[in-house]
Amino acid sequence: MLRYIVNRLLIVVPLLLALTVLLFVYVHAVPGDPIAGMLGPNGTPELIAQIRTDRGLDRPLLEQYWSWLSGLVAGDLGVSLISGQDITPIVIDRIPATLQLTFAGLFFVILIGFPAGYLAGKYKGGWLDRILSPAALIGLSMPSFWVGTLLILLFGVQLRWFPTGGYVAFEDNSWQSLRLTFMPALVLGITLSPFLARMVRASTAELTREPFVVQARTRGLLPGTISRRYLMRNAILPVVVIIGMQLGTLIGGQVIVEQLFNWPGVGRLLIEGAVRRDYLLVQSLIFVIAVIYIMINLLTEVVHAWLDPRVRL
Amino acid sequence: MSTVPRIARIGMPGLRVRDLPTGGVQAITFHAIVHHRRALLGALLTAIVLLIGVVGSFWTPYDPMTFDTGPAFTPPELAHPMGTDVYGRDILSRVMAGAQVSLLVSAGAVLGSLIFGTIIGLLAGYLGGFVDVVLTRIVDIMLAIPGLVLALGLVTLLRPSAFSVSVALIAVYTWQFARIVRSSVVAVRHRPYVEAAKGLGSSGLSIVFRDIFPTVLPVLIVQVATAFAWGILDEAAIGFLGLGVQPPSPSWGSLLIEGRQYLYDAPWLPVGAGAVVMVAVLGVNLLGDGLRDIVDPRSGGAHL
Amino acid sequence: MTETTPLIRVEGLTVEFPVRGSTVRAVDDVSFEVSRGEIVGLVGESASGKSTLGLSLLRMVPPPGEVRAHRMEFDGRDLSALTESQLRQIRGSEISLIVQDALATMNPVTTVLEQITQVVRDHEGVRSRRVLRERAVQALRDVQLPDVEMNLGRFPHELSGGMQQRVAIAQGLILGPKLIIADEPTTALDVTVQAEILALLKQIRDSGTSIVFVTHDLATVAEICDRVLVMYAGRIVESGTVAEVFAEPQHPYTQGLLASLLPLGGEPPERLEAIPGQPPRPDAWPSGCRFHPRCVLWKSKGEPHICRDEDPRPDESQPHWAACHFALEGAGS
Repeated sequence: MLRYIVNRLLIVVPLLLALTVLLFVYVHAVPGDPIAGMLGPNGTPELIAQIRTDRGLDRPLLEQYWSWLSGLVAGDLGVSLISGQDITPIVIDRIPATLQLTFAGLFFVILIGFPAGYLAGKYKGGWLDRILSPAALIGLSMPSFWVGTLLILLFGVQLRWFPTGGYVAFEDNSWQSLRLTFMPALVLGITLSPFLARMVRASTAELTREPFVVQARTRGLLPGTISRRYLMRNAILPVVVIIGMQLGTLIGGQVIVEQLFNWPGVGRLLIEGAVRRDYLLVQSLIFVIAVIYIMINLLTEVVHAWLDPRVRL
Repeated sequence: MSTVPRIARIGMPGLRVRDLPTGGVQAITFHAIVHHRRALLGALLTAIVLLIGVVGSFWTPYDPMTFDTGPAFTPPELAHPMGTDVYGRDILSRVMAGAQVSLLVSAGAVLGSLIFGTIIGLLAGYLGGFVDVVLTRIVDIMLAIPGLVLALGLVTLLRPSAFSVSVALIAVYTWQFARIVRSSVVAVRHRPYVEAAKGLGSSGLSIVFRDIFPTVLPVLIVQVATAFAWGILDEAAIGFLGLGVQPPSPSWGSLLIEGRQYLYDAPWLPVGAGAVVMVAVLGVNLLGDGLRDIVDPRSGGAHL
Repeated sequence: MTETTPLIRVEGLTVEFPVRGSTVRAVDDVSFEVSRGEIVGLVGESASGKSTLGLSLLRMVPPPGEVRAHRMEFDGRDLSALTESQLRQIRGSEISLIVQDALATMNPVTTVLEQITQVVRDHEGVRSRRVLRERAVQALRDVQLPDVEMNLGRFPHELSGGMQQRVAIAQGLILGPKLIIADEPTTALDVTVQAEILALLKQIRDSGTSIVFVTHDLATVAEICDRVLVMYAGRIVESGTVAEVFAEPQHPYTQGLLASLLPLGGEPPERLEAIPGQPPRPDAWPSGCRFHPRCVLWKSKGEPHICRDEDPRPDESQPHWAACHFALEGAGS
């Protein structure tokens, strides 16, 4: 198991390295002068030049890259273009909130998506299946910020069950923290569970026709046993894989949700940076987000290997 | 799968109940779409939305930018079917104007990524070797960055406008197209008829167009539909984040910024505007699903 | 229920599938018996209906197939009158099924121990882990699985093909069934492993369990079966003891099958004799005797009309009979 993890990590490192190169090229290949854009009409040439020097942007590209990269390795995310401040502490500060929302979102995605897909697939063609498929399609088509707004309208404004935004750290006030997490996580769950449900449905339906399931009936096993140990136990396997595949969409959705609910995560920081055209911040943040993405992906692979004995390496 | 044990194969002992439908691009006919429930519904919804967009480009009930076409915060009524906003602007008119933006941005994004993605995919798939390895690595890496995040990153560098959103989305969707095209090309590259064509001296390019494209096309068409749906959603999302078309120009996303802001006073704004987005995306998704079924009938059963 | 009551008594068994508005029969009006403690071979090519017949004994023909019979008795009980719940109790405990691909029949995520004991748990309600483990160990020893202790903790994909089949047999055996339906259990195995499994099956027979051995391979039938039923196009075309049928096959189909076996020793034949043509599909059965288009005897007799017009109706009370107009006349080749 350990060897497997180390193995995967070894593949990841060059990937991340290549990512930094690509990011750097990408970000610097775009036309226009961000500093000028940032300063707007206040930007006198001297001011622009001064800030450029101050942020180290007048150095040769290669040197900039190297300095950024070595910083990344050391855990230093560089400075903000706008404020000149160190980005790292700000980001670190926001990671707990980010991860709390990510995992809460995943929780809802699985909570909604798996049972729905499983039952739809097990009783394929049944009433649940016929309701679920259109429901899934509608769910897929709903913009997350719309769902969120509607939920706020319903639960926050009309029913007043939940506060409509904000964040409290878990260790400070667990109950309130959870209450605040509920709606944003639910939005993620609603918009992303259709993907999961669809695929679980397909794989479960195939499962019911698998020889070993048929054979279990031949052996006169109790229907409950077949359902639990044969169907369900095997149906959860693809869930982990699918989550890995959907992770990118989840993170994208989380960025929007953080904005909508005033959630102080890395996503919202990214937007702030984007709005203010702080491309140094954005560059490092994209890298951080990519790292989080890859790490969680790796985690899903490990979980999958743990659940499925055929995958053990 | 000849090792499937008999116990699973006994159902229709050796029978062919009917000829398997052939699918492929030629299967996409008017007739096919009309007879496929989801495709038909999708096509209708998409057509309606397109119509709104087209009409909205030269006529709306009121000028979308004019203040005080009616009292502010009017709920939906006959004169203002979607109500008015904080400045008394007619929401329906703004939605119609916004439709144009959304559809154009999405179409542009899809077109651009289709072109670039196909080129990359063709190069990687057909040339193989070092070129393939390098390109595939790049595709993998770009796909490792969550799409919206990457788009945001790009929009940061360009001035917020419909065009920059389109460009950013091209940069996100290209890789998906590239991957799909590449795998189609690779699958076909070694087939006997391609080898034969090569042997007969056909030039690479003509082989590509005559032999490889027909296989790729159906998958591409479905992906185009999917990407178009995503385009509408993403454009609205980026607009919602304030990085797209800037106010007072209406776009579906920015309408929802207002919607969130004035949630207490004018709930019909977010509800209505968002519903339109949903219907548009739903229509395209239905159409895409339907097309997928028509083009590749063997995938039937995977979704209802 | 005396000891001489046959274990299985089937009369007029038919399995139908609705297709395109009409129905098609995979098994057509079949009657036979299986006594206690014997191995009956069920031989035929593909689409002969032999596998479907095996499944129908378990009432596990997949929908939309329908099973009908004048009589379908197991151990004196009327199978067609039992509820699904009663059938469930019989399956796995009194009648077991073994198939060709053992790996495909096992749950990939549970260990050997869990798989084997599940049957005991569900049928006998035993909960004690210790007892379950002992039963599993005993069952695996009975099928001569090497390294029992180690293999208990393994997963199915970690075992070799022969071991997988043994585990599958153990699962079928652990509750002491009266009947085992074995559908091509050795076809996918190496020759040496095949021999071992066949020996194992013989031992199982010796301890009182009957086996219906479904196969297309006459050689294995010769090795372990006591009686044999030859199936063609949904019907039984010949029935008798192995000794009788192999020594004096009465039906041209059986003769053809036997002729295509390579004889051990002696001169290699000049040509492999295969039966010309393909087995017919259930929706397109030939009229009269279903074998006649491929029948060498028919051709050699100048294609007599009777084979095309009339279905042979043999006297099934005879110990050795064949469904052929010319077998009835006593004229075999």
